[in-house]
Amino acid sequence: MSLVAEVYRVFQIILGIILSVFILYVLIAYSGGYSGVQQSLDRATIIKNFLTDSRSVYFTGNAINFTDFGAFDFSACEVDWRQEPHIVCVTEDEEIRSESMLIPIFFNTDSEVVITRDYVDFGWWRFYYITATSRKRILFNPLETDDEVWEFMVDVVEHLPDTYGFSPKTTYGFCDGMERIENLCSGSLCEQREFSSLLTRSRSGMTFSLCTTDMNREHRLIVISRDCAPGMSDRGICITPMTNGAGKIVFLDTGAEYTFTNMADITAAVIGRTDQDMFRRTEGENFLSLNKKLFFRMMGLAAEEMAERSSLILSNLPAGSEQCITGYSDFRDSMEIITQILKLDLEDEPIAQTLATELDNAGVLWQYLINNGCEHAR
Amino acid sequence: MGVSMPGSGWLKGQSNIIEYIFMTLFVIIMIVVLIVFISWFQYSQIGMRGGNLQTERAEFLMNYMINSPYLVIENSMLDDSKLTSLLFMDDYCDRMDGIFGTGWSLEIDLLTSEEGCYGNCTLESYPCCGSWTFCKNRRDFNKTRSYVIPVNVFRKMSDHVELASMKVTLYAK
Repeated sequence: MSLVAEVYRVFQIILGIILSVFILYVLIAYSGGYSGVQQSLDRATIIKNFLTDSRSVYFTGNAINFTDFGAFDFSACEVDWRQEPHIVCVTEDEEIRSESMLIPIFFNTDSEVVITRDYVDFGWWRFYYITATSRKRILFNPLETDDEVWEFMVDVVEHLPDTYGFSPKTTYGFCDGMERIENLCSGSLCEQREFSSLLTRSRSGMTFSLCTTDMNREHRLIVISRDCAPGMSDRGICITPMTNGAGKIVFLDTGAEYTFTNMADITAAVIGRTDQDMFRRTEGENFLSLNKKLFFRMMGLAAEEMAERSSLILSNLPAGSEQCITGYSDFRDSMEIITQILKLDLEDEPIAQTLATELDNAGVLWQYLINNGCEHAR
Repeated sequence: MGVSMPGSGWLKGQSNIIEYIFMTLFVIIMIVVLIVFISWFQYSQIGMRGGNLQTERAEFLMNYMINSPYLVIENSMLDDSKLTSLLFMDDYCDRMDGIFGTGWSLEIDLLTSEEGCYGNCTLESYPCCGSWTFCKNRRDFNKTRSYVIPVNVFRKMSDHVELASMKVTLYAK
């Protein structure tokens, strides 16, 4: 009898082991699959939260910190601007696509970023854009230092991120040959406001040679020269100051050249990482292309709408308001010209200059309408 | 004779095994039920989440529209001349989709009008009109839900402000 009991006991143990292993296998397999799905959901939620926060900053202008990127590795995320712009993160195991961005956002995906808003003001229209930046140390390397270049540099700085009161900081300085000159503000790094003030106080007379110093991931080099050419250096960007409203940006690491027509283009080029995608384009190039796409799309609709609006107002203005009649008529014509120019190839520098000239003209005409009481000042 | 019958120990062992098997089966069934319950719970959460996403999208659209330079003269103040001129541009709906995304329609109706102007806005009826409807013909979409908020409308030609309602309707295929 004790032998029988022992046999049954052994049978119990063996059956118990088999069933335990089976149950454990089912639970681990289910948990593993569930965990993978949950991680993907969390990543998609973080990207969605980022878009929501960016839109909030877009509407209000109030900068905020965003730290959710620290939960996972988002270094594979980039902007896909080729069709309807959106954020895409591609890894070996998954691909996450966000909804359409709808607004221009130039972003880094480090663990902590500051989301800020800036704009380009044309008077009759403002183009807002969002930057989400991690720790940045922007170094200016102006190879010419006459008044025109210096004023251009001031304009560039005023459209780069202002992280005053927030962290991580974007700071500004110079590079001269092998030397980084960054502690210019009472012995500390300069933020945007301080650096801008410094530039307006310290006019030309300084000279700089091409930057050759070591730089880390936080640094961004901006060379300013009338003779930007691929191959002059292997990092950073080179900007040819605007002539008649258009200039050139050269990405020195890839040799790619682009025409720019507004300061948002430069901001886009500066914010992006220098890593290259499968098309051998840097993130800065992708942001620049995104900005151009959205800028010209939004401006096209705005110009056409303002032309229609001017016609509508003209047909309802009472006789006697001659100044408004003349003003709206000229403004409508200017908007129609801009609408036509926007249908051309704006990478062509003469066409970009024509657009810039007409935009300046439109700004003057809009101010005329405000000065004569036909429109309210913003 | 010569055959040994199973004793009480044998029967007891057998009942122990059967009891053990039943217990194990019961545990397996409980685990399966738990997995099914968690899956059902996740599925129902997805349904609720879909509703939340629609609400978030509506909030975003309303915020965007009330601050959009295509519709307003200044933040939170719609401009009747911009609303009217936008309505009569070629392909305005497709072009607004490029700004606001797809799957929506917008209706703005004056609630009060000093001049008594309430009808649909056309190029002929402007400025004495008080109703604007954008992208109403979304035939490929099923209507989902609508959201209404009060807004101000600046009357460009008479230079005063009137109260209106803005209704955003979201659609999904």
